[in-house]
Amino acid sequence: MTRYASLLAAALLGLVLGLACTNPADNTQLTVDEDLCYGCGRCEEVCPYGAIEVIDGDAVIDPSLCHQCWRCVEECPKGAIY
Amino acid sequence: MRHITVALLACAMASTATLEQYGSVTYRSDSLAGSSARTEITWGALLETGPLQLEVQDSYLVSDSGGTVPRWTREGNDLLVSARASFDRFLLRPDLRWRTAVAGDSILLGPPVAEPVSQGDVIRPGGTLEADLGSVHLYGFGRHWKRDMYTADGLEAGWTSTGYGGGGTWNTPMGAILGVSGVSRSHDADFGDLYSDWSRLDLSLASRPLELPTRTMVMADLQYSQYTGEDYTGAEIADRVFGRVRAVQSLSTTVSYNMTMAVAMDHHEDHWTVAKGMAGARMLFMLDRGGSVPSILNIGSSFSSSVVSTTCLDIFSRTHIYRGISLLGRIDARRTPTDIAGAPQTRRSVVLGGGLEYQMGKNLRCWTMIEQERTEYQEVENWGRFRAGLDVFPGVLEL
Repeated sequence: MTRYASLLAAALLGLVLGLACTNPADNTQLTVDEDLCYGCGRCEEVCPYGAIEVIDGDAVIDPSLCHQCWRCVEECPKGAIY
Repeated sequence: MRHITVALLACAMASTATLEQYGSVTYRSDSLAGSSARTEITWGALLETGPLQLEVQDSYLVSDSGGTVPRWTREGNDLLVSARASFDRFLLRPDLRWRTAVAGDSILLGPPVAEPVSQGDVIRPGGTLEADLGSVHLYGFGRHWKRDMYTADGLEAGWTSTGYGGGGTWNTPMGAILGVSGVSRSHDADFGDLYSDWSRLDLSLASRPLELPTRTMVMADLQYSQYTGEDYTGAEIADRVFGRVRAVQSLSTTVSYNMTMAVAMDHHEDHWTVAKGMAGARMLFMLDRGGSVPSILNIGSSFSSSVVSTTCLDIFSRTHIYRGISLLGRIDARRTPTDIAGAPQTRRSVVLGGGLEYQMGKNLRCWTMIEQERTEYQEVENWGRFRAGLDVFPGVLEL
């Protein structure tokens, strides 16, 4: 069972990385990984557009305000924004 | 802070209540000589009596630009007051956030060429109502933002935003969790040509944790989000399908492992595009020799790819040596996008650090680390710095 699970995981990993690297969209909104985000608020501090706010412990990005400057991606200590 | 503590104590006099408090100070320099880069002081209190809870958290931040590193500067206070009142199957959570800007860089307002303005106070009252009806969980929320803004020539202006939404989840007997939710948000500023109004409808399907042999649990979720509204360029926000698989395995009593993989696809004008993907894994070794401070080794890595890509590797270790005293070690290697002028579009950085920590039971923790960072900016920068922190938990006070 463990062997099958490992094979499945490896296949999924290849699918994820392969697909995502081949044809990224030109303009795509950011995603916050709620598992990694612990609400430190660093993204909120550095966002020059007021597009991020920590609400109930997670960073929430407003897609209409985000200018995709990537400062939050650069600043996030956990790599939770991508 | 003292007045708030007194008020909390006064409220609690009427009935049996408990009061928990916590405080922390963290400091980071930009050099070993001690030029300040970031200082944050936080104090919080939780008052609980019967079905009522009142929590206050106040945080003061000074984030300086420093000498070596270009950084967004901020100084201000952030107060969050939240309450929880549970009655029967319902939970009411009103809250109020009040941010006071003392100093800092201007923010940029208005699409697509943003206009710099200074931001003053931001007040955000809001609240959430939840209902737990057995296998069905319902919630609704509403928030309002009022931001004071000032133009470069000193004119006062306002920026208000409103957000509300709600939804529900159904924990089905078949082992899946179905969810429907919606959120709507609007912004209106007196200047900068900012008016936006967007909404989102989410349909989600998630599996309950599936237990596999070898102490492994797997969870998967899939979400479709339909957007109505425009981004800062005036283009419609694309609809999105987001899928994720997570697995946690406990390899032994001292070693655990987890991994996450996610893919998002955007749908816009009859075209599907792979928008982004992410994969991450983390392994935690925890050795508790019967003392109150366990020794740990935490190794994590992640990779994400969209228009930009990010790669992170972090290793943190704490080795308990004697009566609450531990040695700390840290390695943080990253490859991230940056918008700093003159820097490579994707910059690499490595941080190596070591230090000491002291924990006195569960009531006090203090630590200090000396770090060396090598970062690509306009040119490769290499510098040392100092970090320290103090966390205090006085314990639960019966009132």
